[in-house]
Amino acid sequence: MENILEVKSLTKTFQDFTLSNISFSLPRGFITGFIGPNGSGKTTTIKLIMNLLKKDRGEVSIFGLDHIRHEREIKNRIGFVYDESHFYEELTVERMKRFIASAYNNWDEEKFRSLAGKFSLPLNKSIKDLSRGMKVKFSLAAALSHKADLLIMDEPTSGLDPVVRSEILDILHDVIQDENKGVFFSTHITSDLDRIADYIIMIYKGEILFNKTKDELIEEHAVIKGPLSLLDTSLKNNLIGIKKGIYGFEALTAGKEAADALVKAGAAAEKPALEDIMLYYTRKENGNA
Amino acid sequence: MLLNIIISNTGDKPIYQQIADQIKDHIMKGLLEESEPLPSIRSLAKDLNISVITTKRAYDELEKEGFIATIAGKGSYVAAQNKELLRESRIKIVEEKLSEAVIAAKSAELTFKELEEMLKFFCEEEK
Amino acid sequence: MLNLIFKDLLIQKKTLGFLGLYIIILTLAFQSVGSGAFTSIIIAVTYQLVITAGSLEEKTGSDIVLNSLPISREKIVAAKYLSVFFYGLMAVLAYLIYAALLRLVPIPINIPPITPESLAAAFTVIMVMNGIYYPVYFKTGFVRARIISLIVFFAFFFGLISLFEAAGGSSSHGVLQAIAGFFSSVNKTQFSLMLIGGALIFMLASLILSIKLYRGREF
Repeated sequence: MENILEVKSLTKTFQDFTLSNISFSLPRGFITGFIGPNGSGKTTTIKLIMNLLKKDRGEVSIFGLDHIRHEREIKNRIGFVYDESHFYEELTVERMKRFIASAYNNWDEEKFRSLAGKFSLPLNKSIKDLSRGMKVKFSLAAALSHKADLLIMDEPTSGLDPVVRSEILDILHDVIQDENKGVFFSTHITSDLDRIADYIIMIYKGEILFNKTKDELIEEHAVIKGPLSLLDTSLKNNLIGIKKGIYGFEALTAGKEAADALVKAGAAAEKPALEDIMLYYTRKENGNA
Repeated sequence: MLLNIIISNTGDKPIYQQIADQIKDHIMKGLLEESEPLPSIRSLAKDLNISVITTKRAYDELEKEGFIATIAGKGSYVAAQNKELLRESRIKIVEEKLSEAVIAAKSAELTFKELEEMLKFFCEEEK
Repeated sequence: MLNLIFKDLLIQKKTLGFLGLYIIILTLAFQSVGSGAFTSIIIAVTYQLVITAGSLEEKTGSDIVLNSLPISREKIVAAKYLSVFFYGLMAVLAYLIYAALLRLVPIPINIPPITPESLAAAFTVIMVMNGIYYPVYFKTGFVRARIISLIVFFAFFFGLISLFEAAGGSSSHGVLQAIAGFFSSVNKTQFSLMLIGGALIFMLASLILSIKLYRGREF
């Protein structure tokens, strides 16, 4: 069983949004980034995987098991961190932890203690008095203290300061020291993934645009900057998400040949960041603005 | 084991290449000796704060070029170096640097004689 | 299952703290109701606890966490039903303690004793009330269910008070007097058991319905 998570033809229709027929898989032992602008369907996908939303069609299997037929067994082995904690504000961290612990078969108190120490979690404080960063850290500590094999995170770092974010990313590296575990990390802040992500899945308007290793993605794309005159040639067909300025244009290319041809014609090519790739792809449709 | 790896995000060189080159450099300089174990892919990825796949690619590259060997379940270590090959690659580096020096000398309008003097001076200093 | 019920108690610790005060106020308010005061107090307290728990779940958005943990939806629903009995028992206990304390001080407050019939009436009503409330709660969430709950609560609460007043002879309403008269004429034990049994069956049916509805719920 190579893949830790497999999604096949997953479909869900709402009044104003459709997640259409998406498929992807997550190999074990890696961090997979799930990117896309807000409203692309990241949270919907995660909620469908967790069976918080009911799918219209499609299959989801986790650890090779159907996510509904084996729901409890699977959830015992999933650690989740969402963008909001949804923990009982009235309870103290310690009380909430006890409640969470009681739900899992294999709670590892020692591990929780050590993470709580590492994050300086105030165990006796009420959850309502915790900062946002602290709530996320608590979620993460709880997610990592029941020997979970798959960590599912939905925008865990949004609204956090860079120091906390880097602490959290560090912990993710710890998780995949075990090559049987996997991390699924959804975010619209792609800079979190520039360094640590192994695979990138991009979703846009309810469809998967690509699912590749991050290295491939960065290598095959280039940010091109060139004179406006190039836009009148056939080279323009190779450009994605053209942004015209007064002095020139900026765009993205896919494929080395496309970039080489443009460089030969006088444009400059740069290595893109994930953010560039996301921005140019989502700009595609209003391209010539 | 002393392993210094510095990664630059700004350069055009891909990260896996930077890692491979620096480990190669350690091996050629003899800082990493034969059969010395290398850090595991996962722990190196963590310490360098980069992805596992990138690190794996660097190791694959080194393995392909015969610098390291990997035993499944045990990890990677510095392979027995082909002395002839190693020497060749070192000579290649010398040639490269020398040709750079020659180009620089030409633009500074140095004569061959002056260049030879300089080389002699450096060689003696190194002793 | 118990951890779910215990959690419901913990999150409304503050409300529990006010329980004693709440009972005192209600006792004073129901001086005219006579023996019905006990039944009314148990109903009011249970109602209060169920509503507070619901509003705190709503505020937290806790369905998302509960359903991401390895807890079955059946358990989440069943715990809410069971908690009704816990709340009822707690109210009875609080009433007993309060009554015992009041007897120690010479204040002319009428503390109606607990009779098997008033106990049966109280539990019948809280079972029926929540049997109506919970399916709506599990189908649509707290916000809409609260309205249903409020309507049902007032219907029962004031209906009962009127009934008890009628039984005490202080109402002139013909129908109510007739119903009260009927109650006083039947075999009380048998009738209480019938009420409790009927309410239990109703609640069980409601539980099955709620489970079905909650299984299809989306968050």
